[in-house]
Amino acid sequence: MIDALCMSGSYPFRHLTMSTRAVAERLASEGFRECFMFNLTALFHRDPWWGNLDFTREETEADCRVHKLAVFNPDYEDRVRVREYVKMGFVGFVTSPIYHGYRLTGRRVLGNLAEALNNGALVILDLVEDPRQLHRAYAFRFRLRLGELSDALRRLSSGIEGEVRILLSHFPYSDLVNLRNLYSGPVYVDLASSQVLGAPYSHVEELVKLYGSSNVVLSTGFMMKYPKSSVLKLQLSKIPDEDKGKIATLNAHRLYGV
Amino acid sequence: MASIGVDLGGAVDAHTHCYPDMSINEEMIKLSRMLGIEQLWVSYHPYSMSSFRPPPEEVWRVNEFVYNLSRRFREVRGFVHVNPLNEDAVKVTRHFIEERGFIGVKLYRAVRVNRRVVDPVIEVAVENDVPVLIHTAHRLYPNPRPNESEPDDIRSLALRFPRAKIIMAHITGGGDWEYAVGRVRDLPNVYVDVGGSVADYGSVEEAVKVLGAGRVLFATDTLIAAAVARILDAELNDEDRVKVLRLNALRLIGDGQ
Repeated sequence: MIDALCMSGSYPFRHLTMSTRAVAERLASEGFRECFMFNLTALFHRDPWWGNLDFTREETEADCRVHKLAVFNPDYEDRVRVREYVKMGFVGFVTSPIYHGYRLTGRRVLGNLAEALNNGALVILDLVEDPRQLHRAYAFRFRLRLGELSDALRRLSSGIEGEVRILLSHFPYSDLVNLRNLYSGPVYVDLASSQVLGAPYSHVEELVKLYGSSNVVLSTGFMMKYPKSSVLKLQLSKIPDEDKGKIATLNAHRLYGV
Repeated sequence: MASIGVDLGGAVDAHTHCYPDMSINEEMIKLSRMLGIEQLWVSYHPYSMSSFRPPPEEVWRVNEFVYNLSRRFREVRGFVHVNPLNEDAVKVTRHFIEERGFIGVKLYRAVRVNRRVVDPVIEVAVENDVPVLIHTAHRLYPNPRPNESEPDDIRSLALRFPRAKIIMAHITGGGDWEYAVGRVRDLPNVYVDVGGSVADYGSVEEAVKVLGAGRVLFATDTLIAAAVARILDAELNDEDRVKVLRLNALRLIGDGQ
């Protein structure tokens, strides 16, 4: 299996810190042979540069091969940074309007995101923690609206020939369903949301119907979440085994171009 | 992709719900059997009722639905859903426990359990030595809901009724689970269930560390993947895992283990 999105580093609002190697080893023990990882610490800085830099220095030797993703704040960083991150060996970019507090439709933001997309995959991250335990310090957080997201997706994907390598990660099931009414173009989604596979137990099937079995990937959200959660969602779903195989491995490779 | 290969060894799902749509219930039972869950402690899905303060006739009807489900599926054991504000709250509690074989009481969001109006219902539970499962909100932000119990309300109830067997519901249902388990740490008659949608890494270990493995119960609250992942991934020794999965629940209902 390939984990399309996991993380190492520190989560600032509870005692949770894990090295890159520890995350990779744990994922290996769960049966993952590759993972795409970003540094959680970098996500909580306006300028993610230093977090990303530290991340490049972290040892990654484990049975689960680590592909590194840079955290990118398009409201603060610029196109030059994108190129530097590529030189440093990052294969994609993780950005979060909610954590970095920007609007996806800003001209400068879209320009920088388009540059990132030209140089690797782009992961648009929703909340990694439960929204009901939002820390007061983040009360100002900007809420990502589906109209804005669909507009940004349309504009980002319009100039691209070939694969649109954008992943919407950790979005609630209901948002992904509603988004399809606003945006019908290509985009990848994952199963990391906590709401997937509750009753009526057909969520994975519905996501496959809406987005296509080639556009769903398996993300664990580990170290924030127990890794088996996403795996079980996929295993317990009633989609064909062939689709499960694609979601567990091939789709992530195509998304990141690795 | 590898097969599921999960066997929870006769686990007890201490908190789940049934739905008016029978196909959902059938799917839940099927998944539970596949995973080795032996008992499901079921109350009616509260969001499928007309309100959080359902009138008496609705309360009787939904509990009868659970009773019929328990006759159809051997895994299902009933928890009687009670609205303590209804005049017949004690009567309905007593009827379903004493006449229908239900094994516990379920309180939802009609009123906080720090209010004295719930006391007669709790007295029936104590008299019959059955657990009381209380829906609890663990979110501290942004605002509390007026009729939704929080860990401090559970604390108040447990102090008023030291002989009551109280289950504080779904610490992993959203919110601050670290705070929640801390508030009931010194109350030996309060158990917690680890049901709900949140798969935060470390949540089950924290509950076991603070309360001891003897006061933590496995539960899905219908969200099966997250629940099973939590208990399988949690760094517990085998003895503690079996307690959480099964033994604590059986002890709570006096099943002799």
